Amino acid sequence: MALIKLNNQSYTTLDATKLTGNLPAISGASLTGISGGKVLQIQRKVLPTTTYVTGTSPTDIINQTITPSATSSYIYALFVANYRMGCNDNTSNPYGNVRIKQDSTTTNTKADSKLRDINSAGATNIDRDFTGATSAYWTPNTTSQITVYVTVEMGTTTGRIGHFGSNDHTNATSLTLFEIGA
Amino acid sequence: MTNIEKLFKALNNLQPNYGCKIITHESDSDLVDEELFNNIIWTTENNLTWSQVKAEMDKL
Repeated sequence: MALIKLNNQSYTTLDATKLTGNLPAISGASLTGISGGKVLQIQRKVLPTTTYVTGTSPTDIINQTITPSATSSYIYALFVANYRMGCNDNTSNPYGNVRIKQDSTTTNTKADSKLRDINSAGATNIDRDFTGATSAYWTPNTTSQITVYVTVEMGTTTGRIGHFGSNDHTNATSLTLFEIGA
Repeated sequence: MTNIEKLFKALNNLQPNYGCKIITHESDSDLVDEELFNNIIWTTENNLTWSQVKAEMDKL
């Protein structure tokens, strides 16, 4: 069957069911009728080395940048952690918070996880290990680069949290950012 | 008791109410030496030296 080649012309009545075989690449910007919610990009970082935090100041343990392609895009931040809690004085139960924040280590909290362990009252030299995750979903309303931080702060100075890095356990703790199209 | 545990307890004994971030050695996460101590990121004031901390660790 003879083929008709269109040279730089538009074809507005082409029946999509007639398209078979090798199709030309089409820009996503030219497509219509596609609903939102698509993953547009992923940025991921793995904690390389085990990192401990003690004290009551919010302390950045891992961060990752992402540049949204549209102001309407959402960011889904997923922090997956393998961590150890312990006390520094043999008598206190460690507790604290792990938070996801945007462009700051002190404010602009997007997610807040409370951690508490009953491991050390009256005992000595006890560390306990856990795994868990914290996530947040929001729209930064910008096409400029943002930085997403994960911070740790203890409720008292007598507790500590250590997040395992890949030097202890492969991919044990990671921060992954997804840009989701609106 | 691991060396990291000893470090935290020694710091607590010598300087209560301290705050810091400790990033472990890439090749040995339980290795506590002067290099690790010098790389501690303090979130409170620190007046301790490695020799003081090492001496306290050795008592534990």
